[in-house]
Parts: sequence; structure tokens; C-alpha cells
Amino acid sequence: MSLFSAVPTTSSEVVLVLAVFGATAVEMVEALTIVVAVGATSGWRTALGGAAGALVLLGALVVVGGVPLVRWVPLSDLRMAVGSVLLLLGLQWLVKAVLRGAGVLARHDEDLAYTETVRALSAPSGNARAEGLAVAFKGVLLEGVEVVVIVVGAGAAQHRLGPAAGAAGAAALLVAGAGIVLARRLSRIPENTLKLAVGVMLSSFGLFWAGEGAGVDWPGSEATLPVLVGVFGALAALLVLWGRRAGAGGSSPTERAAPT
Amino acid sequence: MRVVRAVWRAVAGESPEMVLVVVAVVVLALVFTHRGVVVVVLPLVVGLAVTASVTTRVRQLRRRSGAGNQWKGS
Repeated sequence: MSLFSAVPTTSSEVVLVLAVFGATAVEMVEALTIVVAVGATSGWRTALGGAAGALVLLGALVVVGGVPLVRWVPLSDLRMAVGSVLLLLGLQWLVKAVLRGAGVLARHDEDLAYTETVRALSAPSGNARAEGLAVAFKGVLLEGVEVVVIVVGAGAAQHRLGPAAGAAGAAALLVAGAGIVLARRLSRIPENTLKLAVGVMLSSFGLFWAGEGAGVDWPGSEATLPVLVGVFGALAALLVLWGRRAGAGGSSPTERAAPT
Repeated sequence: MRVVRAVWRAVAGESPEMVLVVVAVVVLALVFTHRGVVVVVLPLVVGLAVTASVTTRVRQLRRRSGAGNQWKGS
């Protein structure tokens, strides 16, 4: 199996591609909000320049971080370490998305993020272009680091960096396309539903690899993955319903929308 | 110390209890590798941890908003 061959063939590769695609889409929606805000205030050349610089750095991180991991770290150790990281990330995304779905936490508001960025950049400053460039660069880089961890981790655990990086690239392109079509109305993208689905997949994937790395013999091997996705997905749906019924969903969320 | 705190914040995020859950999962997987029941126990631990985390946060919010007191009084 080639490190960079592109077509997913097993259930774990399909879950890998879906998880990376969803995670990248969620993070890129937030990054795109910042880029569009910079474009509207400091000019599109500045915004796209900053975003492109960050994307190049993120791509380099995938190659620099991923290839040595795949080449030199024993597969079982790698899977246990990567599985643990993915499980941690997945659980955090899952809990946050369930709480937002139940109305306990305020949802991430792209319109508010856009307005705040425009207001910050509209304030008089010495070098507006440099400031805009820095904001676009930092926004894309910060949102993208988590994606890099997922791409490198999930890709390395299966020795399939190619499909993982390809899925991330496709999601970034799709979100950029959606941004052009929706023209600033990024709040229309169902970000929390995506986050919930990715949380379920990352948790399933992480648990599967952490167990596999430790030597656990999952029944049916990779056939366990869709079962884990189904179980955690059903649990998440039940918890969202319970949270809404418990009365929290009826009141307005008092906690500030946290960054993802 | 600042670096340690920054790393912990980055790793633990807003759900630091999940770090313990992941450690518990790895330890259980290593200790009970060859027991068949481990394939049920591991997802169960994860499921219970998510349920506990969500229910705790929801209850905290109800207490904070006073809904808990009304409920107790009824």
C-alpha cells in the first residue's frame, strides 16, 4: 500500500477520509470568515496573501511531521499514540458539539466573528495592510494547526497520508467555493452538525487505533469502526435530546461562544 | 511554568477530564489486551465519560440559572 495512493478501500480509510474532510471543513469555515473580513476591509490581495502563506506553512508541517512518523516510528506505537491524540480531540469536539446542539453552550457565530474582525481592522492604525496580512495569516494558521494534527495523525496511523491530505485539500476548496457562493453568509453552513459528526468519527477512530496499538483484537477488525461510529452517534443524538428536554435548551445560552 | 500551563491548556482544552479518560482507556487496553471483554469495556468507558461530562455541564447550568431550585421545590 503506497503512502500517498489516493483511493480509500477499507472502512477505516473511508472513516479516515470523512473525519479529515469534516474536520477541515469546520476549521476552514472559521478561517474563511476571518479571510473574508480582512478582504472586505484591507483588500483581497492582502487577505489572500496572508491565507496563502499560512496554507503553505501548514502543508509543509504535514510533510515534515507526517513522513518521518510513518517511516521511523513502529506502527503499533504510532497507532497507540495517534489513537490517544485523536480520541482526546474527538471527545472534546463531541462534548462541545452536544452541548451546543442542546442549547447549553452558545453556538459559534460566524456573523459575530466577521463583525468583530471588521471592527478591529477598521480602527485607525499605522500600517493597515501589514495588520490585515497578519490577521489573515494568523487566522488560517491557528484554525489549520488542528487540521494538521488530524491529517498527520490519522494519515500516519494507517500509512495513508495521501488520502488524508487529499481530503483536507478537497474540504478547503469546497469551503472556499461555498464562501464565494454564499458571499459572507457563512453562518448558513451547519457548522455544529459537522462538528458533531467529526467528533463522533474522531472518537471512534481514536479508540479503535489506541486499542489496536495496545494489542486489542477488535472483532471483525476494521468492521468494528462503523459499529463504533453508530454507537457514539446514537449516544450523541440521545444526549442532545436529553439536554434540550432538561430545560437547558429553552433558556438562552449564557456562556460565551468559545473558539473551536 | 508558563510553557507548561500553555501546553496543558492546548492539550486539555475546555474538557480537562477527557485527558484522564484517554489515559484510562490506554491503561485498560494495555492491561486487559487479551481479555475479550475489553472490546466492550473500552467503548463503555468512553460512552460513560461523554455522558457524565454532558450531564454535569447541563446540571451546572440549571443550578446557575435557578431552574434546579424551582425543580427541587416543586
